[in-house]
Amino acid sequence: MSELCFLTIAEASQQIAAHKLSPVDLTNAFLDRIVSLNPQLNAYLLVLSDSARTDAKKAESEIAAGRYRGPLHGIPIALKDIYCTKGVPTTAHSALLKDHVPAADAFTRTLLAEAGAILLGKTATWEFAIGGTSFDLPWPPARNPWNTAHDPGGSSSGSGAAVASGLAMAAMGSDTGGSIRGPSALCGLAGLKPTYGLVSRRGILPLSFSLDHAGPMCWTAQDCALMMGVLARHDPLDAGSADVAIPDFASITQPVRGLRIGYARSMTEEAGVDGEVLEAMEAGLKVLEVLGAVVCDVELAPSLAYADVASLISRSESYAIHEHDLAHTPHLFGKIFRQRIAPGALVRASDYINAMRERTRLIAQLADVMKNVDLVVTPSWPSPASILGEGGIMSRRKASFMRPFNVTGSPALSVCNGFSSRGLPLAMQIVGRPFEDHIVLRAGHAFEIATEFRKRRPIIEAKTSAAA
Amino acid sequence: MTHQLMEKEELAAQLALQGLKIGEDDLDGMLNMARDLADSARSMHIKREYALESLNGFSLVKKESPGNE
Repeated sequence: MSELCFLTIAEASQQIAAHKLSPVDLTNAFLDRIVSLNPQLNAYLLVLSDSARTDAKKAESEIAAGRYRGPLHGIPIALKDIYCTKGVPTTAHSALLKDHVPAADAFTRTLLAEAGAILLGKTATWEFAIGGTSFDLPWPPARNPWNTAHDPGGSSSGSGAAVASGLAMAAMGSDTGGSIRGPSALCGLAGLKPTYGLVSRRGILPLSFSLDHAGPMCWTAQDCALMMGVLARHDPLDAGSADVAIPDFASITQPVRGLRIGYARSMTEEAGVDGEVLEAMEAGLKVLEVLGAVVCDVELAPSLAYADVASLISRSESYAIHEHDLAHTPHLFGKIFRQRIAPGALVRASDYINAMRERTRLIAQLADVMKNVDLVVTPSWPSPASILGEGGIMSRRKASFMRPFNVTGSPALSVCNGFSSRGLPLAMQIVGRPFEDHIVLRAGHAFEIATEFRKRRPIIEAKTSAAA
Repeated sequence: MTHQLMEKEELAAQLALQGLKIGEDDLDGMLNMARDLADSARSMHIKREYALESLNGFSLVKKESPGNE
């Protein structure tokens, strides 16, 4: 039944709506596969078998009775374990919250449940969405399904591993400096960091109030659009939520002919970017040109300018969140988390405010660039996935193509644009103007349709017990 | 944040003033982070001449709303 686990949401939802696919059968296929493969991948911290089966039966009954709710009805999904789930542990992959059971659901969890999605479980994450690939936490780190010796990226590591390996049809991630797009890139997925304010963060354990974004991680851009059709909603109880017209996500099947796409080539020349990544970008640009897009080079601010702003804001806001626990129970955090967050104690108020002022300049500068182009593209990640735990942690001078768009709040999608000579995914980032997430997804969808990369899945076999 | 590159002992002392007791094992990694942050803070200092005139907090929508100061 594993072939069911490699359907896209678009494919499965059509079959479910036509009464050709049972949500119960679909959910059971995923639960069986999780039992078989999760011990190798560590994608899930918690599997909700009983409630998932109950919810699947309910979905099946409703659909049989003619009460089909829409394209997520009966679709098995997962949540990064920083999304609060009422009555279900939400740990942030940390000993600090090992026994934490929220009293309420995250707003996005409510929206997904109302749409009829089936929650399979809670996925692994870097500790509190920042700790890095750590081996000193209560649960092991997730592994990359394309090669389990390699890192799946983070911080939405388990969500990336789960979707790529067919352990969930979609999963929710969060992105403060690339935590949706990074694992999506390294696991070969489509992952969208929506425009800041388009998806509520209420009930998601925060990392950095003004840089945090919530969004979907799926096999295709089209599936991301289907998820966004449910997730994009104004939430007056999230102070960052925008009360704007919801983008038309059904429009993503329109052609990209005539779209003006700027390649931020100068960013790729600043720091060490893998040759295979650059080759995949050039090939990807040619595909977009063949599709009728007009491609040119654009120049953005140096990535270091964005990195400085992002670091000062992120560390200040993160320290504000974790100050009490770092002072009183530091031993309950992993080493990497402590090392990354504690120095935030030393950032002065004036440093933070100046970083916010510089941020407004960078936002204005990007807006000027995007008067002349509809989209900007970059690689998503400067290299294929590193060996698990050997990627190092983010530093000021380490190239990041993703952090800039947390600073600006722009919608940014990672799509698979090839594979390395060792069979690891490569990825392209597509960035749009604020609240033009649908145009970003339109370009990603067209690119996926025009290329073969969505036809290749990681091959991972269940391990049998070791011979005596 | 001091704009000077600090040493381990100074880092430990500054964090202690903030109520954080840092083990020796953590200090090396933390020192790299602190130096990065100091460099970032220094770059903000250099850029002050470019700073815009107002700071209304971060929102892609609300900052454009009339009367939202």
